[in-house]
Amino acid sequence: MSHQQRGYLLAEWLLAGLLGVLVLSTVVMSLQVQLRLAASQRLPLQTATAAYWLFQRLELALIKAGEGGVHPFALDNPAAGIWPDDQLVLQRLVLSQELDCEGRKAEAGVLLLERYFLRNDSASSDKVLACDAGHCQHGQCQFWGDAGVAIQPAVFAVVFVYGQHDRGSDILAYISKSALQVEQRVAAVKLGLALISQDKQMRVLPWAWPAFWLQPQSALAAGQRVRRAWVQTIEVPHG
Amino acid sequence: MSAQKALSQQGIGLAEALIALMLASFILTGLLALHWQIYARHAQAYQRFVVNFAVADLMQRWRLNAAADSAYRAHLQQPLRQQQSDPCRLQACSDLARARADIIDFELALAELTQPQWQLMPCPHTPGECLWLAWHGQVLNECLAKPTTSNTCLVINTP
Repeated sequence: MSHQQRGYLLAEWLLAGLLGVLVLSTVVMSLQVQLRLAASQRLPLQTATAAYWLFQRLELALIKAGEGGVHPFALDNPAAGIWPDDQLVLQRLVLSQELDCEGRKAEAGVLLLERYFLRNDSASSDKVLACDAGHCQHGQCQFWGDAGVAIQPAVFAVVFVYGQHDRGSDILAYISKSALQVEQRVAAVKLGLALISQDKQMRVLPWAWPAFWLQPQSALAAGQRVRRAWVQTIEVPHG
Repeated sequence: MSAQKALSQQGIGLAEALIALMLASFILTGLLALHWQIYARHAQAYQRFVVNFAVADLMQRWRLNAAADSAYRAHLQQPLRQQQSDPCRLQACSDLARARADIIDFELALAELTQPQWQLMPCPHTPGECLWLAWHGQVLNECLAKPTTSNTCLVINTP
């Protein structure tokens, strides 16, 4: 019976080849779509999620800042020192034992300082948003002024501006920390966060600072990593 | 019986090959469509993030500048128009000027969206006015009809 088998016809080979090419090319196309999808949609979502989490964290810190009748930005505390305008320094009296932003226990009655700032990442060439916490009592601060802990990698710009009413005209203006008047309350803080994805996309992406960004910035070169900038206004209840 | 069948086997017929091709193309087209749908869903998810950020910021600014409540409502009654950033968002300005600057910033924050539209309308389930936002090709009227089921519209209570 088997001697009747003559092998495949040329037409069969050609058809099988054609089908194979079609299937393979569709699989490759499908993989390309998946890769594009993964890169172009996952990365902006990642930065947005990271920004959302950071804003939540900073909002909670700003809501608590000034608890216990102290200045929320530590302008009344000489032990806190003077820090650049692009660093957010918050102060509050700890009412019951809790953890500071570095994960250390802060006992009730301690004056807690927290400083949010950008610094170089020890593990990459990126910058990270770090938090340094200090515990002050009787004019002396512990753990204060070090490199702190990184709370978010791949942050490439942060801006903090403070909404304060002018004493004479009662008109609100957003100003830098160094321009704040100690005796006037701060109504709100505008936070600007610019994040960059940790992974790369397949194509080079141009980047321009959005028009709503809080301060002029120099142009950045196009790159394969996704950049996004966000601004949020947060009320300071104990301002 | 089966031996006789095997002997009569002469290779694949054209009709069989065409049917196989058609089936394969149906399956692969379906797969590609599915991929495209996922792609669109991811885009929508990101755009929803953009909307949530923009709306949360606007509502906070509005609450902080409650004296200019009517100015915010008046500006939101007008359709979207892309503008340049207004210096009043940071500088010392009157409450009314700040309200205008806040709305412009809101517009600028929505610039990333595809075809955004807004309207100030009564809330669907609660008293008061709500801000209705639609984007990504969603027609605002469809959003008004089914506010809670759409992925590309948002209804938010105004302060």
